[in-house]
Amino acid sequence: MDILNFIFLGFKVGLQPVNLFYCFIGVLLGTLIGVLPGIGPVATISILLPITVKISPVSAIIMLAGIYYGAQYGGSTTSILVNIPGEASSVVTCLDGYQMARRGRAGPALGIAAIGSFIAGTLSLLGLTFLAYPFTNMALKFGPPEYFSLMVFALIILSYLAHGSMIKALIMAMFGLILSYVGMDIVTGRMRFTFNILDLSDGFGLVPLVMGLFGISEVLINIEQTLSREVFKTKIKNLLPTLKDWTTAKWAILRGTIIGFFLGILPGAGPVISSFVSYTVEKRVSKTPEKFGTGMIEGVAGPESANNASAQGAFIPLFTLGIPPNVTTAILLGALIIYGLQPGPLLIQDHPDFFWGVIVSMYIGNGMLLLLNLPMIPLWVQVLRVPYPILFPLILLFCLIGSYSLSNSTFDVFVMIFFGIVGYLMRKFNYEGAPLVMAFVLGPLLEQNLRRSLIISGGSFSIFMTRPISAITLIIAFLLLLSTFITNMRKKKPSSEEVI
Amino acid sequence: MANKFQKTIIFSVTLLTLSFFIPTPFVLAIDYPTRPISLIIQFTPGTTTDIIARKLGDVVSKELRQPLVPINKTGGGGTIGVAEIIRSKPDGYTIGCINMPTLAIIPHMQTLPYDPLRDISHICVISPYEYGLYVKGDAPWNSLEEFIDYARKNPGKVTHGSPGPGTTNHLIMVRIGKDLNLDWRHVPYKGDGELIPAVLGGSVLSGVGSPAALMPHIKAGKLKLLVVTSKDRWSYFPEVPTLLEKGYTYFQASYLSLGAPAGTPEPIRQKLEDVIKKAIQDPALKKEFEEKIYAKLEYISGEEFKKFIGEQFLFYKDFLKTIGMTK
Amino acid sequence: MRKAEQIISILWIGLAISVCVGSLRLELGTFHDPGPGFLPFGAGALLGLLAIAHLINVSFRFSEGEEKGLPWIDVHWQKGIYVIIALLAYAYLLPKVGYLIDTFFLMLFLFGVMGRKRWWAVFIGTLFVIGITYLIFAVWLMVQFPKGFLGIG
Repeated sequence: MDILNFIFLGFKVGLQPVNLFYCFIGVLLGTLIGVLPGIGPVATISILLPITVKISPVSAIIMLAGIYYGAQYGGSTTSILVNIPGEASSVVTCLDGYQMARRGRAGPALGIAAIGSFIAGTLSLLGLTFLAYPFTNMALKFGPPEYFSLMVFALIILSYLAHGSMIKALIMAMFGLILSYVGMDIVTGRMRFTFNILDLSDGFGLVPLVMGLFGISEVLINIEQTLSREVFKTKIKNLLPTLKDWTTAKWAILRGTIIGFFLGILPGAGPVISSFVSYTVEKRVSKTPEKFGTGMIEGVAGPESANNASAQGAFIPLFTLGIPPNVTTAILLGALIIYGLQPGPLLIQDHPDFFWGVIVSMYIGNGMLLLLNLPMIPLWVQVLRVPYPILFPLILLFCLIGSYSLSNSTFDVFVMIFFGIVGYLMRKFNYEGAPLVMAFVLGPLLEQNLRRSLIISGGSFSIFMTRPISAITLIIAFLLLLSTFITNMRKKKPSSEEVI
Repeated sequence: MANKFQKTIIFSVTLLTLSFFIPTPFVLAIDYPTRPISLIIQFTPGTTTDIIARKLGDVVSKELRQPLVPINKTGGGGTIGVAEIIRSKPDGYTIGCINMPTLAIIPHMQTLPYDPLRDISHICVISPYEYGLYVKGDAPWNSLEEFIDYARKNPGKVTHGSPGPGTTNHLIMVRIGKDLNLDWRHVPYKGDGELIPAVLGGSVLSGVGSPAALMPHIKAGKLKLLVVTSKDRWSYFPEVPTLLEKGYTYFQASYLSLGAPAGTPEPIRQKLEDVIKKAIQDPALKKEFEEKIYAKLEYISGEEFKKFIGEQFLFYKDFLKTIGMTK
Repeated sequence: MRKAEQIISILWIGLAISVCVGSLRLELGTFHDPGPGFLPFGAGALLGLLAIAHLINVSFRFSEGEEKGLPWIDVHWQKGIYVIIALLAYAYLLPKVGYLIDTFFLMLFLFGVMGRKRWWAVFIGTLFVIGITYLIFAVWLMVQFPKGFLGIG
């Protein structure tokens, strides 16, 4: 079989000592910057670009790719330990991961995140290996109407994110939508709600927003308590996931992988949305949805698998079509051009040794990451023992550096601090951050695709139902909405909780 | 009466004191540069502009014997980077890349913290931004005329996509449409990364893009170029005609240039212009850029460019008003 | 808490109104041709409705176990304010004095004033932290920190 030949070719290239070396450096660096909040693969890859011209293209891409998917492993670490999302795609991990840490279960949380990431990465690589072309073709069929319907679907799922009061969650969602509309309007080019601040022409940055909303606010809340007490009083129980954890989580991992893989291929969707969707799916299928937000391991396993799967999935359109679905892959595309490898539909045909070599090294890289991350767990857990008066200034400093380094901009630092204050107030009054973030991410996609669809159809709404994929998605969304109402009706008993 | 010795002293001291009043630019230009120069790049790493700037920066660094340190300040379609250049000290140690829309088009669409006509000391143009109109590879039109014909017969059905509202890619199609009285619709995307898949997938019927972005797809036959909207034909696809050749009196004129904050001493600016001019007129470098990153190096003097910007500014002021895109 | 919830609901309503007004100025367009103000107006309107519903909910229902007063009793809320001011000052001064100086003072403040440790420990700790972070970020990761007027950082 042809593919087997290619895989052997890949092994020949991927297993060369020099490539193994660069793979290791890549994933190591990736883990490190994934852990550091704010600084992401984008910054690091761009900085290393000029240096990589000196080594062979295969080795260079192996290393840079390693940084990219390696960062997805590291991002969950700070989310779990100190409630700071290391990457935007790790926001959801904060929800239950941090709660697990507070209960002394940081080890299992970190462990399941690493294992889930490994499984998801490997499985989606298999997808990349065998299903690259059919999937790309399918992805191309997604036009504005399909995207819009998908976003409607995601918004409806959003309602499941609510842990407490439904009204408050919806208020947060609306707030998130409003925040997302700050910036330039895509159709007319006019500025909305920017008050003539130039730095707002692209809107609020997602990463400073989540760092402030979750990370800084957490510090502010904790500071109020008497500092002499340790914040985490509970004893740190086990360092690795138990068998019970594993049985609960394995399905979450599988579901997360599939969700992440699909959403990663679609340009613009990416790890953030897949992690959110995975979380809400887990909550929905769980037998104890009300416990989500208190430390359910599926709430960590699913999203972490999803974001890794979508990171790997993003390579599909990059390699098969030469189209990068997100910023990081866009830089990799630039790198390919610099190296003289023309990305595009002919890349795989013209340079099979390159393509398969990189694929095989990704398998190896995922394995390395697992071996790297697991033994580091006891180390990471020690971080929790550092007395808070010493820890919190460091957390703040890392956040400040992180937010600045995104685009060398002090404005981003201000955005982060601002949302830190917002997040602090929200916590005080029992509003949740997750619906806000989800809506903030979805808002632009929803609006842009709605307006594009209407331009294309000349104003007619029928376009959403005449195109099959869009129609199916909307119908499923509608059915989902109906079923929520029906379940709520059934559950209607007098309770002291505020629920619609 | 002062003796000769004393007179000499007085004379020397006077001369020395006076020398402090010699206009420093003359001194500076001879020494310049004495430390690294910041090169502000207004787009993210990996984009064509960034690659051009960094490569050119390397070449110029060798000539000036001081490094050109690239700093990416992205956002706002290039305006954040340009604003950064303008706010920097005009001592010749900060220069940066400028894309024409930030000076001629965007100021009409939003309030900017700079005066596009006065706040920049132009060094020179380094590269034209070249674009072409493309459609899906299996589309039924093979020339601009066929496409326009179809648009005429199907008003409201033909769509043209752009990487963003207010880009020259968007506006050139609007201009053609107005001139020929066509009813074709603009569908905005965020960058080529979203636009190209949309054309490939058939959501949008056409797009306007650069050689770097389109090259692999055209070679693979998935996209085809109907007409080239830049001033000259592309060397990569020499059989595709230009708008000018077809009888249009305009083309999609947009440039990547280098600039420094206004007030930068003229001798320094001139030195930079000379060094850069020499670099981009080097045939070997030109060839490398063309073959490896599909970018054309072209020199236009800072003086001439300033005039050009002035003209374009006025043109777009009226043009945007007629299509209702002014602030 | 009830009063606090009511005040907050009113604040949300206020925000909703300003968003709607702002959206009207941006042109709503029509359903078939939405303008830039269309979806923001919708989001603002929904926000307003939800806030009103919440206000009603809170005002007319009796929930058991209600806390009296604002959630700021029994906590050192001033500390939070100090930290926020420190962070804002840090961000503002960063381009002016550069990373090294700015971080130095910030760390002194956070370790010393907020953490209330001994001054010599704070001083050494600060220098250590600055050194390490500079090494990791500025040197290894080549983050371009602002240099400030003294040219260092």
